[in-house]
Parts: sequence; C-alpha cells; structure tokens
Amino acid sequence: MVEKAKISSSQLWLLLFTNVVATGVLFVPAVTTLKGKQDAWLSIAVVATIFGLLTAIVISSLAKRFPRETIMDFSISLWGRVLGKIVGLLYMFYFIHSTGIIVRQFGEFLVTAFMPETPLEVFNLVLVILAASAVRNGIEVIVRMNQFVIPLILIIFLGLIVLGIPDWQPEELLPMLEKGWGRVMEASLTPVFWRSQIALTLMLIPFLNNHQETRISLIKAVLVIGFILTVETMAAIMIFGNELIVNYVFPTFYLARYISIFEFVERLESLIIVVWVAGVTVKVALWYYCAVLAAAQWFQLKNHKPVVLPIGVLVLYFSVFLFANTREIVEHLSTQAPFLGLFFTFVVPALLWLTAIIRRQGGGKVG
Amino acid sequence: MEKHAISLDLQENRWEIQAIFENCSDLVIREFSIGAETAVKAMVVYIDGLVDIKIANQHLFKSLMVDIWETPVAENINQKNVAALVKDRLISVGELKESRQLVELADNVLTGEMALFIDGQDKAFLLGIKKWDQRAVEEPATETVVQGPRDGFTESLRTNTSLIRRRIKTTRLKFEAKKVGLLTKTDICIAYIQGLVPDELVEEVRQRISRINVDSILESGYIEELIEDEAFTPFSLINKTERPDKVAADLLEGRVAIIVDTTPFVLIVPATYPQMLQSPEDYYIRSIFSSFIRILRFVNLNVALLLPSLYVAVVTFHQEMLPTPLLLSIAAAREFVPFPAFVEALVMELTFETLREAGVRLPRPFGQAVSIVGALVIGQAAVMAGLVSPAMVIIVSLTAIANFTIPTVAGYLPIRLLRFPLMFLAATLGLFGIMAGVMAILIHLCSLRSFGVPYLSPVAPFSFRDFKDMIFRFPWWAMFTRPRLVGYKEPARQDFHQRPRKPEPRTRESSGDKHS
Repeated sequence: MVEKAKISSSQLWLLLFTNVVATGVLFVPAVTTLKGKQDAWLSIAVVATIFGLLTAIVISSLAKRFPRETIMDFSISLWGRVLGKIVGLLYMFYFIHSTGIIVRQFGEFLVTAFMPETPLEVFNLVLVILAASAVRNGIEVIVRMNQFVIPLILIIFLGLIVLGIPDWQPEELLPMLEKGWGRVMEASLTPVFWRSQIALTLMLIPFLNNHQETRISLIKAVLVIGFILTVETMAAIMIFGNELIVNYVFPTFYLARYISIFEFVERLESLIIVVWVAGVTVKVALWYYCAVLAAAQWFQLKNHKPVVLPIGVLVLYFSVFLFANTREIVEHLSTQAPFLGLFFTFVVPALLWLTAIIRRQGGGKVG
Repeated sequence: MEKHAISLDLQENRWEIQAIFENCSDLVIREFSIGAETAVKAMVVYIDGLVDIKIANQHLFKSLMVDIWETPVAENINQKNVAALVKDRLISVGELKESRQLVELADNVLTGEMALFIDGQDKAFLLGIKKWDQRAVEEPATETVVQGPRDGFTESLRTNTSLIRRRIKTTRLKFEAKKVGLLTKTDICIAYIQGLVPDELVEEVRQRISRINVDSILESGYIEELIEDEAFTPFSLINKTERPDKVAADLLEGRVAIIVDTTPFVLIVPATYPQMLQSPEDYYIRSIFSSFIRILRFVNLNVALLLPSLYVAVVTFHQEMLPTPLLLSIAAAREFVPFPAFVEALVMELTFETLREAGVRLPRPFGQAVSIVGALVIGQAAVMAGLVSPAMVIIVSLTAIANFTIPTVAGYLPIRLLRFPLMFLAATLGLFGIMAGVMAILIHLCSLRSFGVPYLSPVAPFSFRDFKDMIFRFPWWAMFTRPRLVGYKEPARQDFHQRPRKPEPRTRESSGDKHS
C-alpha cells in the first residue's frame, strides 16, 4: 500500500457527508428544481436515496470481498491485467477531471457571487494549493480536517434553515406530484449523480479499519446527505417558489441574503461562503487525493508524494480551461457529468461486483 | 583524557588531580592524617562552593581528626584496616560511593561530591554532600493561579523531583537519570508512572534523548528543539511548565516528563494544542465555572487570531456585511486616516508587539514608563493626529487582551505570529483569504503529531470520551477515564457512582431519639 493510515467507520461517513454536501447544497437545488419544479425535493428524498443505497450496497460488497485493495487493484484481479490497467487509467483521469471541475465550480461561484473583480484563476490556485498541502500529508490529515469542518458546516446550515422559517410559504410545494412520478424521475438525474459520489470509498477501502461497519456507514452517509439536501431544497422552494429559483444559479446563497436578525445582523452571505471554503477544501482534497493515489498505484510508486505536483498542475489546467463560463458548467453538470459520473461510480463497480460473484473471487477475508 | 586508575600512592594521586584540574582555582585539596603512631595520610578533594562545607567539617574533618580520639579504634588504625574503619565507623555521611577511576572521580567531583583519598588505597570515597546557593521554592512567575498550590520548580533537579514525589507517593513513579551535553554534562531525568504510561512512549523518549549529541544543554528549550517531531512549525509540540501540580497531573494521565537540571522548566510529552489552552486552575475551581472560562478562552483564541484580519477584510472588501449604523461610524472614524486599513492595522499591531517586547525585558520602573509612552503617545496622540482611527486602537487592544487570556506561552506564541500572514491574506483576498489561511493552519495542525499523538486530539481525531476535559471540564466524579491516546494502558481512573448525593433526610424519630 502507498500509505499507512486508518479511517474509522464514523470518520468515513463524515468524510462522505462533506464530500457530497459541500458542493451539493450549492448546485443540486437549482438544477433539480429546473426540471422537477415543486416536486424536486421528492427526486432528492426518494429516488436519489434509493439509488444511493444501491450504490452503497455495491461498494460495501466490494469492500467486503477485497478489504485490502482499492479499485485499481481488484479491477486487475477480476478483469485481467490489460483490461484492469485500462480501467485504472480511466479512473485516474476521471478523478483528475472531476477535481478540476469541482475546483472550477467553486471558483466560479466565488467570482459570481462574492468577488466579481478578482480573476477566477486566483481562487482556483489558492484552492489547489491548499488541497495539495493536505494531500501531501495524507488521507489521515484530510479526515481530521473534516472532523473540524463538519460542525462549522452544520451550524451554518442549520442557522440558514432555521432563520429562514418565517419566510416559508408551504403552499409553494403544492400541488404535489402534479405531473406524476415521471417528472420526478426525470429531475432526479443530478441528485442521483451527486449522491453516487460516495463511490469515492472505492479508493479508500484499504484504509478502513472496520470492514464490518463499512456498509452501515455508507448507508448512514446516504441517508444523512439525503435529509440535508431535501430540507435545503424544500426551504429554497418554499422561500423563492419554483418559478424564481431557476433564475438563481446558487439559490442557497440567496437564502442567506434573505436572513435578517433583529434587522441588525444582515447580509450573512459572505460569512456563509467563507464557511463553504472549508467544506470545499475538504472535498477537493479528497478527490485530489484519490487522483494522486490512483496515479501512484497505476505507476506502481512506493510513495504518493512525487505525483502531487504534476496532478495539481493538471487539476489547475482543467479547472481553468475546461469551460468558458458558468452556463457551460451548469450545462455540463446537468447533462454530461451525471452520465460520466454514474459510469464510474455505479456501472463499473457493479460490473466488477457481478464478475466477483460469478467467479467467486475475493474470499471476503474481513479484517 | 586516558582512563587513569587511582594509584596506591597518595602523592601520585595528588599530582594527577592537580594536573587534571590545572588552573581551576575553585578546586580545594586538603591533606591530613588519620590515627596516631601508624597514622595514615589522607586527602580530600572538592570544588569550593558545590559542597556543604558545614557537613564536611562536622562529619568528615572533625570525626577523622578530633572525634577519632574518643573512640577505641583510634589506637590501632593502620594501612590495612583504615578503609573499612573510615567507611563503616568514622564518616557519618549518608551518600557514599567508591571510585577507582580518576576521570570518573573528577566528573563526580565536578558535580559537587567530595573525594576522600587514603594512602595505600587504590580507590577513593565519594561523599554526596552537594550544596550550593540556590533559589528557594517560589511561586512560578509564568503560570500563576488564584486558587491552587503556589510552589514552583527551581533550578535544582533534586528539588524538582522532590516536589513531584511529594505529590505522587508510589514506587511506580520512576525518575530515570541521564546525562546530556559533552561539556555541560547536564543531568536530566525522565519521569513517568510505570503501568500508566505506554512503554513505547518511554522507549521513544529514551531513544530521542540518547540521540542528542551536543556540547551544551543550558535550558530545557535546547532539549525541546532537539527531540520534537517536526522541526519547522510555529506550534510547540512539547508542553513546558514551571508547576509541579501540572506535571503530576500529566504524569497521572500517562504522559512523560523530562526534568532538566539548572532550569525550572519541565518538559511534558506528548502535548496537544487543546492542552495549551488549559490552566491547572481549571481543575481546582468549580467545574461549571471552569467550563465557562474555557469557552471564553476558546472565543478569545479566535478573536486574538482573527480580529485584526477580519477588520481589514471587512473595511477593505466587505463593507456590506456591517450593519449600516456601525458602517457609518467606522467610516466617519476612518475619514481622515491617510493609510489603507491594512497598513493601519499592520503598523498598530507591530507597534503593540514592540511595546510589549520593550516592556518585558526592561527593569520594572522603565517598564511602566514604556506603558505610559505606549498608551498616551501612541494611542491617544496618534488618534488625535488622525494617523490611525479609534476603531483600530480598539481592535488592537481587544486583540491584545484576548491574547492574554490564553494561559500558556506555548499556546499564545503561534497565535501572535500567525496574525500577520492572516492580515496580509485579508488585505489581498478578503474573507476568502482569511479562510484560506485558516484552512492552511488547520491542515498544518492536523498533520502535526507530538510523540505519535495527533496534535489536535481529542477534536481531530475525534474522541467523544475525551471531551469531558476539553471545552467543558466535567466534575471530578465524572472523570472516569484517562485520555484515550495516552492513558490507554490503564484507562480506568476511578469508580463510577461517586457523585455526591443529598443525604437521606433524617426522620424526626431517629434524630429525636439521639438527643433525648
């Protein structure tokens, strides 16, 4: 193994929580409401959760069968050296590419909503440098950083929801299931894709110190994420209504602008962004780490540190040149990204799992 | 220096000693005879100022030269029996060793032992009657408490170990002695409680100390920098204290203390950052109040670190965050200030740091003059001249006061330092810059370890059990376990169910019975 580290089961689900929620709260409500209208929250609460549970089962079964290997290793032992190496290479590029997109998303968000006069590259650069320093120090540091960041995210999130309650208009959620489940299913693509990001666990399997509880912690992650995103989307719909919400790229951010405490504490959005920086740093660091680990394993390095810099440069490159503007990102996130993502987070793992079942491989030496 | 054996001839020994200690004017050599007709020549060697001359007079010189005549043995002393007689009957000193090597003997003489040579013996006696002028046990200057013991460590290793031993009266408390430093040969002592402390930890401490190869150790700070886990960090990875009660408490948690001679500062490993925000007094006052104080300290930690940079960021980039009335008054105050907020903040913070440094090193009367200059000239005059805004003065003072609430030096030094890069980030990237800086600090803190224990534990990695002694301080009857990462060898600390309960109300009959 490239690194010696231990992740406990509670650390795992907290990590996955931040991984999904950090960017999920920003992007999921608007994109889902665009298609699902007032029923968008059902896509998140029901469809995405069911799918998320499915992903959790696939991943935890693989983890049980190959407790000491990442997907880079067991794809080789299941599908042979050539095909396995190709799969590994694809995953490596997927991780680098996704890290770039995540960095871009957040940089874009900061420029649009926060500091329009600062060039995007500055934010991207700072974020990549921060993440790189975390990645260099290894997965344990990312995990611990996350434990520090989670309370911050929760406090801000709860504050946002609770303080918005006076402005809620529950009738905005009606009529329920106006166009039936068809529209709900249609809208659920983005939330499903977001939830399936828990598949990053595929790269962390060897670090988990309690394989008995992997499934439980994945399921926990799926449910808690579902709860948070559902509440968030419902709140956004109830405050803005499904007509207005689609005009905002980042409705959550405007929720913050809505809040006023005693007409003294107002315009809290800057504070909220600041806290999000923390969450997104963790998320970027995690994806970046997976990319680095994948590269290190693919090239069969003993240490992951030499690849941190080259991959950082690639990530920065993707983050700056992949898209021209915010519209393109939203476009990508609502059309191509989910399919690309689901291929890597669900389809390939599920096929690997089936192969393992058929060929009875991976004795499930639960360690 | 080659290894000399002690010669049978006293004169030869004398020449050797004189050669070794050439030009050492503090060396004293005194020759005399023991006994009458068959008198045996003897010689005493010591360093003036390091031995207790009163005890030497009373129990060595007087008993060998005067009192000996009142004892029956005096008559038949000769070269054969003299050594045994001297050792068993004549010298009434507790600590007595023998030495056969001149070099080893010289080393011991240098630590303050008195060497007694007797003619015809190829060995010398070493009497442990060390005494030198030293400071009495006083209240520690760096960590004062309102309630709690007032004794502090001194510069003497023995006094310090005794202060700890008086608190922990068990044979499981070990003091392992070592010598470090080629020239200073400083005594150091590794203290731990066997069975509580993880064996790997003690072994690690031993190894890291034995790796040290320097010519001098003048203070425990030398040791600290030579054995810590990470060389380049503003945070201290080793706790340092002057208080024996703190050392005792840490030993009881399963930590290791390193006591260094000639300094009152004792090192404790492993250390965590949350520990540095705690004062021993937290454990002596009522738990509710100390929990309150700890929350206050935590808030102040953030104020001390972030307030100046938040001011810079808000005034420069995010004016909209302030409520309008507040924004107006700050704008009015800043109207005539010629500098941007960052320069203003930087200059004021640097001025404050300068004033503080000037005040600390000066003799007390000058120190007061410095504070007057600081308060009146810099504070008031600068504001009146329109060079800085009153708001900035308030910010600087609040930051300083908040900084002073952190109870340990190791706790507040990094905060003082990290303020400046954060201010710079605030001036360039606003709140995002501050947050990026904070995340960088967090990543750094998360990557630190002190003797294998993560520096931010029990927050990250999270340990619910250890939160009883973190932001809150639970009452002593609820302190069931030692910290998970250091005291795991004997986690249980005490019995459950020790919460004091209201006594059963005495029934009228029984109380009546007693009195009637």
